[in-house]
Amino acid sequence: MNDKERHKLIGELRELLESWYSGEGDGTLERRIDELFRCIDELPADLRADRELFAAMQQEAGEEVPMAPDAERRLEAAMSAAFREDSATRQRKLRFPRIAIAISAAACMLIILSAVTFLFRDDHAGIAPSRPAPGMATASTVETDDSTTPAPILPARPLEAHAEVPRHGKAITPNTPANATPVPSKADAQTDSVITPAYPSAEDYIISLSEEEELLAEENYRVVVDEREANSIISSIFSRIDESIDRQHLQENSIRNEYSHHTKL
Amino acid sequence: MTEKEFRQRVMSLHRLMYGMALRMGMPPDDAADAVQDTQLKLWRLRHGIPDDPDELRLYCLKAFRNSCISWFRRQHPEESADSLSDTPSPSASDAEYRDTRAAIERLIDSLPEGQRTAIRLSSFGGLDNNEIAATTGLSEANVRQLLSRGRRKLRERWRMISD
Repeated sequence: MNDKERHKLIGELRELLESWYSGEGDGTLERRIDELFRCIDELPADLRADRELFAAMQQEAGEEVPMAPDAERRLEAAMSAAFREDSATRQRKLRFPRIAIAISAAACMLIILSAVTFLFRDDHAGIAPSRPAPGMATASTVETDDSTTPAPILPARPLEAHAEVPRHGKAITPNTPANATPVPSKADAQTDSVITPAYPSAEDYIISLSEEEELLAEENYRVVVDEREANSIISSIFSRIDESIDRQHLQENSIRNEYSHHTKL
Repeated sequence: MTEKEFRQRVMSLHRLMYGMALRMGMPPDDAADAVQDTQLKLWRLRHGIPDDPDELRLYCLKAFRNSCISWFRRQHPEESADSLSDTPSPSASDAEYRDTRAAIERLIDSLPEGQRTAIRLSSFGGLDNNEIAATTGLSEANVRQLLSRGRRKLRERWRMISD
């Protein structure tokens, strides 16, 4: 560095120091002053004190100062507690997803097992209702309070077979299921046993007359062989049924009239 | 950042922070509390700490500086800029001021409260005049005046000692 440059730098340094002693200064001013103090090898005597003062007042980043033992222990205790709390919080956050996953897996297994059980049970039981055995079509009887009213005979669910008069000319009544003891209706009791056509095909009824008569006789039924007699019996039964229905209608109307009369009052 | 990394990289700066707080003029107990508060805050916000060592150091020291500024904001200068009274300079021989750094520290401590606070915040806290004004509640003009008086006084006393 020649004298001219040195003189120039010293002049700049004095100006900057004057600004600094006037209270000015940000990081840029102080960094430039520090650079000038370092690069100018021979400082004037009046600036040497300033250099020492300025250097001492600049923050030294590398200076460590030990804390008092109590303060060190308090710091370590506080940080350890913070570490433990953070670890416990992370454990709690992990536990919930694991439980949720376990519950979801169990629910999925339960759903799958239920679906398999349901499908497996339906395959064995059969979806379609079973057909009654030949000659054993289901029926139900309805008991009424009116002793003069014969109990109507409700036909069972229609099946695919058509009802035909069997070859031997008998009409076969729908009966209760094979295992149950059929209860003869009042109409049957009055008109002896009457057999109406059943649902399966005629071939299903091809059994020997004697066998059928034996079966019916065991159950207190009489076989009407004559077709005319059978038709007349059936007609009388239906006429009685009609009469019973008419009487029920009359009763309903009278009850309805009486109710409406009381309502008006 | 794991606990181990935090201990190695951030907690290791606590003595540096402590020294910085002392040089800024904070009492030892308050300086220790500021260090602890800053360390806890840095642990809570550890995901934002940079990985680069130099940037990490600057990040942590800046966070600590903000804690110190908050502390200074809760303190009010006992003396205003217009009512400064000069305390007499300590009478001591050259032997007591053998260490330049320690000597200047003593000179700074001998300054009035307002000048001392402004100089410490500026020189050791790295605050500019705007930040000192915001921290102390004074105007920027008052801060400039405090710095000017304090620095000139230090120069005069130091020249007396060093000559």
